[in-house]
Amino acid sequence: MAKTILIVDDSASIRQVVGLTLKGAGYDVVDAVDGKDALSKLDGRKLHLVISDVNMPNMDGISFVKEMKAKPAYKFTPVIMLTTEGSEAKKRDGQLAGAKAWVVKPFQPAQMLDAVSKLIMP
Amino acid sequence: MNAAELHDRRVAGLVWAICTGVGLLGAAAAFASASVSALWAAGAGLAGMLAGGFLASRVRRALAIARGEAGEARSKQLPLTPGADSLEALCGEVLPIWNRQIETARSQTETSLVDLATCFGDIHQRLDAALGLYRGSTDSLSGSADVTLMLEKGQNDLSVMLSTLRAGLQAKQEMLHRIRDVARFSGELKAMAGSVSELANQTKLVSLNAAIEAAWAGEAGRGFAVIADEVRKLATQSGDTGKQITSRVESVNEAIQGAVQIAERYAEQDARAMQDSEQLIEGVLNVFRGAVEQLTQAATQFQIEGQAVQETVSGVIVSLQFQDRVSQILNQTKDDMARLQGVLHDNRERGERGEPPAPIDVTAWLEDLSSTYTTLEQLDNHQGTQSNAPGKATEITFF
Repeated sequence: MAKTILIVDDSASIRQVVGLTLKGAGYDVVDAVDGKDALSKLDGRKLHLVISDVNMPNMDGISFVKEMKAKPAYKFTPVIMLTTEGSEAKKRDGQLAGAKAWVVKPFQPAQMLDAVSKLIMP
Repeated sequence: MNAAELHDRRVAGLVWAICTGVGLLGAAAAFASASVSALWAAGAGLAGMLAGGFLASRVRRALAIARGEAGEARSKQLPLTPGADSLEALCGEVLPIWNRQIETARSQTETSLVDLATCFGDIHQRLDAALGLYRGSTDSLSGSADVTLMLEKGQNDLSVMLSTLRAGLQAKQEMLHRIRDVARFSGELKAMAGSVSELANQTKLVSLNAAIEAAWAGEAGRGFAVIADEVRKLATQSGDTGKQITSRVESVNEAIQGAVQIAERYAEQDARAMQDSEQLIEGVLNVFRGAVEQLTQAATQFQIEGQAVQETVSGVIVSLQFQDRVSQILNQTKDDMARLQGVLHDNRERGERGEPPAPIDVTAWLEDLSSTYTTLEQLDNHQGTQSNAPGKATEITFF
């Protein structure tokens, strides 16, 4: 059975290219347009990984990850932050929130898939 | 041209220059991001220039309306005030317009890029499926151990068949040798039959002499004369039998010679057929081998080309992501323009209440602006330093 990955990004083109990369590798994809929308999608379904942007309207990625990690069902779900931000301060925020990796856009599909395969839950 | 018209022209020129600058800024950011975005970059620059021209004409008209020279105001009558007041009024009008233009350009770019990404995704998936199918078929048909084994098996089976045919041909040759031996025996039989005839003649001559001697002996040789006569008759019969044997042996010999000639002719035909079969089989196998080799080469080439296209599509996927960076730059510029618009609006309200405009702390404004940047390019543009566009290698940090 294919593993499910949640993509959270306010950019439709980024959701599209990330989804394209993941679906091509055989993953199932669920997407959300911001942190608030993503929280509404945490409805008990099994998520093997989350890929989230940082700067988004309504709720940013760091806040979303913190709230997601507060839910017992998603406490151990690995998170990759995918953002244009490259500052060390922001990376620290992501790490403290519970992210496992920080990927700066643009990403190479092969390298993203490599990171996903390293972190995804069995 | 009066001073007011000259002023309008200058303001309109300024508007055009700002719009063109925004367009070219977006274009430069896009172009610096990836080579595939060059067309978008040119389009963005051109759109900026066109939007600037359009806005400049609108601004000139708005200023004319504000001065009351164009009759009734179209949507909102602006006060004709000198200096800073007219600049505030102008900015109050044009900033929302610029904001909407930028948003339209940003959303149209995003929509188009989503469509592009969908198209490339479709290409990618179809190519994957085609390569998968082709790989499956070629693995079972060509370029692999299966086909080599199939060729070897065919060659072995045909070799076995040729060996069987060759054994049959050899058996025929042995039979021919036997027939030749029989022909040789028939010659000996003929000679033996000749000897029998010769013996019969000699016996006949002896019996004749015996009959003469018996006649000389008179009454005493009468019995002997009867025996001599019987011997002569037997000799005559033996001679006839010898002649018949000779005749039959000659007939048999002729028949054997005929059979030998036919067998030799068939043997030559068989040998030629055998040789032709070997050449034909080898030719067919060579043709088949060549076809399989070509198929294998074509399959390999197809896989190489397919892989190259997949890599190109991957490159396109990377390039498409730069739209997100451009979108963030435009959004951030848009937000700052809205912020400026808010300040101008507040100052206008203060003016209406008879209060002096609130002072603007330019340094604090710039610091706030800088704090909202999310990309290195924005910081470079802010500082006026060399553009620091991101490379195409993925930057990943694992925690």
